Amino acid sequence: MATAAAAITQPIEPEQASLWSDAWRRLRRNRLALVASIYLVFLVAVALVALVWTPYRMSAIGVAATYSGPSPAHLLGADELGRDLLSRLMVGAQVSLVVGVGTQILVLLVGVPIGLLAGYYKGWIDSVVTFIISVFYGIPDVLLAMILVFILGPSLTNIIIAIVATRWMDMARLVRGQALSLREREFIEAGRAAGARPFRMLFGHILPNALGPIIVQATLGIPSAILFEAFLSFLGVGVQPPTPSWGSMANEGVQTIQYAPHMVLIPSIALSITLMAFNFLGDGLRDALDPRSRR
Amino acid sequence: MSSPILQVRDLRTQFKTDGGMVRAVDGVSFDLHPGESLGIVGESGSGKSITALSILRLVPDPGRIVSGEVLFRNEDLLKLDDEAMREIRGKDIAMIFQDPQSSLNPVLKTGFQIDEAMLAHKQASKHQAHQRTIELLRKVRIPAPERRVKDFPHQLSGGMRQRAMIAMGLANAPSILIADEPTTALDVTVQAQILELLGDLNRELGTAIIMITHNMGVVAGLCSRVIVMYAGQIVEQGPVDEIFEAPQHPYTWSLLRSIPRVDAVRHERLRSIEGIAPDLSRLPKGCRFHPRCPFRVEKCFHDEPPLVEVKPGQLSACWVTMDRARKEMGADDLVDIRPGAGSGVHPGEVR
Amino acid sequence: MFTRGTLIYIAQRIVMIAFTVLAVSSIVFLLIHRLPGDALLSERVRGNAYTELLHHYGLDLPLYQQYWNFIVGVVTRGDLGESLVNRGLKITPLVVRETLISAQVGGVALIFTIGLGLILGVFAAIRQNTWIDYLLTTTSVIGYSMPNFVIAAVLILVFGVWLDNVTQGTFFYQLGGWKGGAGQLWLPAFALGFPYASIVARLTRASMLEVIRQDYVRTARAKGLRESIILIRHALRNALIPVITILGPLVIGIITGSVVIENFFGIPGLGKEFAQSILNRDYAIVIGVFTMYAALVGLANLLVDLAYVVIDPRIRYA
Repeated sequence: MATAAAAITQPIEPEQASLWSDAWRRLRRNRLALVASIYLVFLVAVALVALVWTPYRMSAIGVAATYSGPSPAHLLGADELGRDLLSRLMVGAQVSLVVGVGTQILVLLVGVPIGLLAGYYKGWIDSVVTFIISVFYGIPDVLLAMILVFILGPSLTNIIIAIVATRWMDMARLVRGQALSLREREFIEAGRAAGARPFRMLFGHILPNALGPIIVQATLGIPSAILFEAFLSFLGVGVQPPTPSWGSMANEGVQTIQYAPHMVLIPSIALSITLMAFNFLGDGLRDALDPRSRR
Repeated sequence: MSSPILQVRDLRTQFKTDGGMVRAVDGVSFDLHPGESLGIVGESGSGKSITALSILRLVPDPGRIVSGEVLFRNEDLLKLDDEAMREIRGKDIAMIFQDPQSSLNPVLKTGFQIDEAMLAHKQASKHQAHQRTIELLRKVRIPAPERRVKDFPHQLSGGMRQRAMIAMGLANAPSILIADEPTTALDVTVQAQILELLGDLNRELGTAIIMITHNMGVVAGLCSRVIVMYAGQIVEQGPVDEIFEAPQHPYTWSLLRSIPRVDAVRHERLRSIEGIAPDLSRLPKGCRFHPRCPFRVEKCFHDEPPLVEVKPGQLSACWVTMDRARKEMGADDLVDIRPGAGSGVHPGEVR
Repeated sequence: MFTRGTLIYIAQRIVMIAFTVLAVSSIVFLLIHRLPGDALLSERVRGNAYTELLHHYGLDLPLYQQYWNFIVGVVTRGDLGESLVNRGLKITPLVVRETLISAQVGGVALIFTIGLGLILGVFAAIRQNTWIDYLLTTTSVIGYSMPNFVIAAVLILVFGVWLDNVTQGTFFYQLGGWKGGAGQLWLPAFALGFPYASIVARLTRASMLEVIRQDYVRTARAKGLRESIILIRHALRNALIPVITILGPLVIGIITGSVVIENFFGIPGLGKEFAQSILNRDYAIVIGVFTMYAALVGLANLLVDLAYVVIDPRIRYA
């Protein structure tokens, strides 16, 4: 009798291992996603190297002729103060990655538990979450985040806080939907009927089954956060000088677009390729994890 | 007898899938005479619907018509260019489909969808088309057609939608109307009304009808001639009366035994055909029906039977035929119709 | 087309939008006015002049009193207050004037986004799995991966700098040189709409692929309709239904994008005002502009609901 009860509290779940290995196989076959991953590994490496070494000090003024184009000594040229653009680009990569990845980690930490609770327990908590989501659906969240950044003061941490404050609900909405549909599935009902602890049900059974869409959404959230930081910095309300950001570098470049186009093109290209890589990887993950979504 | 209006010759339609080439229609030939009503019967997967779609060249991807001829008034439709084929569709040969719910466009008014059929072939001005649509709807017995033309499909009942589909099919007074399972999605009472309507139209307007169905009862009520298809091929063909009276192919015989009958003894179990329809990408050797046939003999395992005339006007593709099965294997008294039950031939005993 | 139920629904929605706008501006108002009064004033004044200034703007009142005055002003007179930087500058007429300018740019961008997105999406769908399809689906990722200021910079570089002889300065980067001519709209509208055109194209493609497999498209073909009519009248109209859903987010995206693009091209619209006010610490204008934005988004979402009614007869709001 006791053993039977113990057996019942272990809900029988859909096969997981093969799902992930299938997804992995499909992802490896996706050439775009593969190239994107290689680029992103390279980008992370560059950002790490920039922690200890850059060709020149990123804020050193006059190491090259002002506005000079690419040359052997300065591979990507120099800006209006004669600072080495490659060095600044490398440090800028740190900013982008910290904002992109940091934001999504916090979004996961906030959005996933709230979504799980709302979807699993329904009731008042669900009503509150749904209400907040619907209010935010009706306003330009990026602009609200911009106001937040300025109230809090423009720093990297505050930018991340502002993005998380206006973006966690997207993740909560997704997780809520997943939890709502999963809670009706047999293996969850069986576990519940057998008296499994709610915490165990949520994090042991519902979360692992909703992991695919969560990973995809988090991956696609990274470029949107990076874009947001670039956007703020481009307007001059983001990361403050002397710390370079790809957005603020592009802004400086725009002023001199007529005679030093490399200054705007270089950070723009870096930004575009990085955003593209994250988007291709996210799309690849989605196709790999849910083959039906293809076509 | 008049010359046939439609001659299908050795038609082959195949679908390229991951699991191999699916031979959905595999060498089908038949004639259709003006004003005739022909039934094509078979299980799902027998190729009856694909045959119909092939005639109008509406086979969905990844299907391809690989060979054969479809002669309409002695002109091969498979050789026409797209524009000429478009002119035939809906004007000379019209087609109506199984599910009137999904076959009508949900965002367009029902009346307009019928007008369109006429306007596409420049058969009428906008005003004339509108008037004729109302007439057509009246002819298919939709009450208050003046108001119904303005309704969207979701505002009509299932039966009315199918009537509207039939009206659409008849809009250009086609010489052939192909009806692909037109009653399957409907209530039983509505089914009977639609069949009666099709029968009346066939008699009054002289439109030839090809009725695609899995239901022998539908054929009995409407058709004068029937073609029975199995696994992409015709296994039996002939006048409805004769086929119902004395089917010669064991497959037809078992189909007829599976019709529910009002006069049957209560509680008597309906006899369905044992086994499942074959996988069209992995067809058995010999006669395609032999794995399910109660009356198979050794020859059936090796050689494909040709479709030959067994009686005047009746063709059958069987090495045994039911006349022999009745005489030698006691088919009429057979209750258990599992594979090989009548002949006692099982795969292990075949050399 | 619009039944009585639909009209009632519209009325309800307008009331709802009014409440949302009020709620949004309240949130922003309270967020900002939590800051001490002197943080709100950019002018470095001391003594009497300072108290006089605080009093002029009502910033010496308790927060609830300030809020009440603000709400009463908005609701009864549509009055969004006075600029904190330029004393005497009324915000409501300023914001209305700038909205009209932004609406021109945003409107062209929206038409362009939807038009290009639909054309490319349909094209990719009917050529599914050909090189055209692969090219279009891949470029669409590139499209929405490019920040709009990057697109704008490239456009300026190509048309304003490299091709300046050909374009005769038509497209030249005119910081603050807005003359309001139609010719000046194209580059900003393109930069603003391009990323979203890619998204519309992807969605249209997916939706078209779904629709062209439907039975009613087969019926249309069986009737002998021309392919072009089948595509536009029968397939596209149904394919539009899911595409409409993103119009709300699309308008939000274009509003957000306009903050950068209007600054870039020196267009004196709402977006430029928003960014400049934040940089100038003119919080009163920030609140005013944001209130306007909330109203515009509410209106866009209402139009989306109405578009459903027009396109899909099955949808009726009771």
